Amino acid sequence: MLHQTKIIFLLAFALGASLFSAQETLSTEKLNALKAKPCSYVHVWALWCDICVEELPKLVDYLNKTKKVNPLLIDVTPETGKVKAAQEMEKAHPRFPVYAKPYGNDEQYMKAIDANWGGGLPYSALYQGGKVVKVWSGASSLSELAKATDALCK
Amino acid sequence: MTQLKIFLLALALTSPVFSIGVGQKVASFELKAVDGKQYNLENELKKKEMVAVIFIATKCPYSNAYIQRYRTLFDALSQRISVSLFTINSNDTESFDEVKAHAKENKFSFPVLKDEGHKVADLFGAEKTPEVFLVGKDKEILYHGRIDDDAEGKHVKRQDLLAAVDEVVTKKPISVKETKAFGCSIKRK
Repeated sequence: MLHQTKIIFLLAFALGASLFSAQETLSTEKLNALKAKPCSYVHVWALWCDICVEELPKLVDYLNKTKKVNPLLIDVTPETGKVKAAQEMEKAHPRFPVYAKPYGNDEQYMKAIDANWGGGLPYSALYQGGKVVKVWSGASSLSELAKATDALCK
Repeated sequence: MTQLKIFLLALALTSPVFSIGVGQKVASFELKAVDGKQYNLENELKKKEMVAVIFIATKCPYSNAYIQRYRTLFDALSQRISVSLFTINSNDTESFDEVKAHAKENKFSFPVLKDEGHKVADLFGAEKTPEVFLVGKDKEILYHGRIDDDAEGKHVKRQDLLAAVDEVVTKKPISVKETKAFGCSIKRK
């Protein structure tokens, strides 16, 4: 009986660990395809960025509820923090796609998100027909995001 | 007509921070450093061929990942007598006293300037920390971007800033003038 309990405990632990493993990576090709969706909103996030972590629950809550945009969150946390970042993300309960940036080629990846972006985090961009129509650098203002999506995402 | 209106609205709403480009000139500035001295870009360029300006922060993990490398970079730049290093904190959320304490705690022996009201960050169009601008004679931007190619410092293959400095010192054209890297947005209130 004790042996069976141990096995059940180990299986439950393994399942929990797999749920909190790092996110699926997003190639630039797939990113470009997702950006092409109508009114696509991409938010770039990292565990190392204090504002990113601070604003995540409210931003995810807004993106979970809004019907105006196609949200996508990209985690660019460096390799050593990937698992912890996935745990932090899990706590916010996003009901939209969340991906991790593949290792390396930071510059190429930044250009795929927005050629004019220098890399400051957090960063968000709204796209129409795959083209950037609005960007946010630094903390997101949800009222400004709502205003922009009302104006641009018919 | 509606499409034109949407385009114009989108244009008005799109407001990224545009940094000063390589080849452009930056206006001079003077800031007080945590050592109590005033540092002036123009005056420094009368003594040196280049000034490496790095925007840093006290609370940004991307910037703090470079603490040890800031010190080694300063040592490396000090050996190249034609270049000075100015580090600048432009975050409105980090006070002069905090910046001073951070510099003391981390034994920074190079100038750490406090940019009250982020005026100098605006002059450069600096977006994040860490972010480098290598300024040459006539206050021309010679290199802009990252310090090296690995924020975590574990697999550095190229030290972009040092490479650019060495190319100027050896009278070669700078091979990589602009790079990008992730960092923390400069906090502008």
